[in-house]
Amino acid sequence: MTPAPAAPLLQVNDLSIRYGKGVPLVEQLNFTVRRGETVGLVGESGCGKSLTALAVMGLLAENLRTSSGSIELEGTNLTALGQNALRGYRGNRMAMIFQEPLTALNPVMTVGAQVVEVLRAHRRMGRAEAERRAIELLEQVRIPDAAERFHDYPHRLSGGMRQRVVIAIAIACNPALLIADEPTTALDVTVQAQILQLLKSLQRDADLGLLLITHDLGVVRQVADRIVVMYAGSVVEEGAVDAVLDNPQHPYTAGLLAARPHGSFSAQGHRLADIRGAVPPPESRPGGCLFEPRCAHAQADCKAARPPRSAAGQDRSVRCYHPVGKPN
Amino acid sequence: MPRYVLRRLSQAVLVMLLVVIGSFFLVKMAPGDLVDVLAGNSDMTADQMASLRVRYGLDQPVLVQLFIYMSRLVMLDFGYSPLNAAPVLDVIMGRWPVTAILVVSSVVISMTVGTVLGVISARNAGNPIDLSISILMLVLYATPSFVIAICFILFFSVFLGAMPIAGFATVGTQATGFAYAWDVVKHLAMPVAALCTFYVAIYGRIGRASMLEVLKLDYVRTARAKGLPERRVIYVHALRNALLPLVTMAGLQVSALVGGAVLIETIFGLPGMGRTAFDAVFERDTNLLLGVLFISSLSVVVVNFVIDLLYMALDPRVELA
Repeated sequence: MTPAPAAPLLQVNDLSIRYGKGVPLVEQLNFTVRRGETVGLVGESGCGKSLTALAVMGLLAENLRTSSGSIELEGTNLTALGQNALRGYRGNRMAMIFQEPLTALNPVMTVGAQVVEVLRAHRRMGRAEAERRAIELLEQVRIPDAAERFHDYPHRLSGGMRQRVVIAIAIACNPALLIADEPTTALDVTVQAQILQLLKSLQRDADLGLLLITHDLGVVRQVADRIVVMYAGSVVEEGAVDAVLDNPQHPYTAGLLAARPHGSFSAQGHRLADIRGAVPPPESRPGGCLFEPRCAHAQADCKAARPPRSAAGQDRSVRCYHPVGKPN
Repeated sequence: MPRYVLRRLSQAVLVMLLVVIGSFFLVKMAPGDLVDVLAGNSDMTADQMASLRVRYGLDQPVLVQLFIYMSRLVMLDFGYSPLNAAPVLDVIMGRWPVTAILVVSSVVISMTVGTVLGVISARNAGNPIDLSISILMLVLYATPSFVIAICFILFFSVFLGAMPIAGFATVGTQATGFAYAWDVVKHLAMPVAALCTFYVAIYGRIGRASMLEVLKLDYVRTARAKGLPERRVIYVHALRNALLPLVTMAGLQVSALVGGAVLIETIFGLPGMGRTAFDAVFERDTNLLLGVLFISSLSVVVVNFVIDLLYMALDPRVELA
């Protein structure tokens, strides 16, 4: 692995996100994304993955706010910026791809106009130049007959094609950070693979930092360099993909891995392993370790206080008093 | 597209045919005819009345009358209006523009004002600005337009003496060009405003609801994620999608006002279609009444077609077939 540069591209420090003055939905979140690196952010539905992404983009709903911590992009603390300054970063230095390609594009504007728009918002470009560049971008995301598709409305394109348009919009201004929030969940399997391949090659070409949010561990294994596992609004484990997936330290990560379907159902007909219980809602999270009520390895000290991050600042860390798996 | 136009055209012909037949029987069902009214205003013998009926074709069976009326209508002959001592078409052509100006300006003004208020309301949802606008809407919604019209007259014309009370233009004015236009504007300001109030409230409420719905949609978030200025997010991305229900409302408003402006036309002494129809009913001027009904219905049919085209222009997903 290449040596880490002094300042990572994106550094999220002790971030908490609250609903009004209520309980935090996301708490003490730490992770980094380096230039040219793909980080997979995984966790169950409702664990705060998407909230984290929206917080980075400064797009949280009005009743949500980041109550503590910082989000640094290329050394600038985004949480300290006003909406106007933040707007200069959105779509420019950082961009986001959403889960639902079918609804992410404005139905009454041509796809070309929607690409042109972002170029003209951040670059001094004449209309003709922006249009030329937009067609190039559509070609870059491998949309066939890009010059003709330019004039099409989104409803004339398939889901996969629309996601390509969304990606073209995202990479239009050469962002340093690309956040992809479950970019393939709404697509069928063959298209998923194409979109992942596209993202990966765009990332390599532009040395992008890619934050890939997903609940598909297979996708993470396939494209990510590092993995950040979230549970109930907090990071429980992070590290290099192979290290974490081959040797999970946190019981939750181990549980997730064990719960994946494997073998042949028709031949062996075995039951899927599961993690007993359900993710606690934010207002009834335990005072100790967040995973303690569902954890098979829980002991008395797990109830007492939240476990700290082991080896904070290192590549591999885990929040658990009694890690499972082989010690690293 | 040409196929669509053709289909719509044949539908329109059918609608107009039904309107003509329906209104003809409706008018004929009313007791009394033109000759009764004429006789009531003068001393007329039964013989004279009978010969008048023969002259106007009123002695024929109703179905024959309908057939004669319709065969003339095909050649755009609306018949003669005894009340105005002029061909019906001439009478209507003189009055139609008054109603058209009234309706078009109220639709444009109420839609613009209502939409702007709705957007402001939606962007401030729940705060005092939204609340004040909502209260204003409720008041406008609940106040009948004739009450507002009379209040306008009392305040602006009687108390301030700033506005003309009635009419389309100053009687006997020699003004031309811009001066004449300004004169008409001054005369129509109050009636148009009175016609607008109710619809400002309607557009405001629909606009607010529609905007709130659209602002939650994914593509608005995408627009924000692109780093577009908030102005552009609201007025280009959200508003254009939120306009669709308002355009539907505009179609309804036109239909309602073409015939429904009679109260306002009466209060402000405007020689529009509503007034004309009203007078025609009382004078049993069958030809005139049928003519007004025909032209009004035709306007509504045409406006509905225009609204459909507008819909298609606003939303590319709407394909007319």
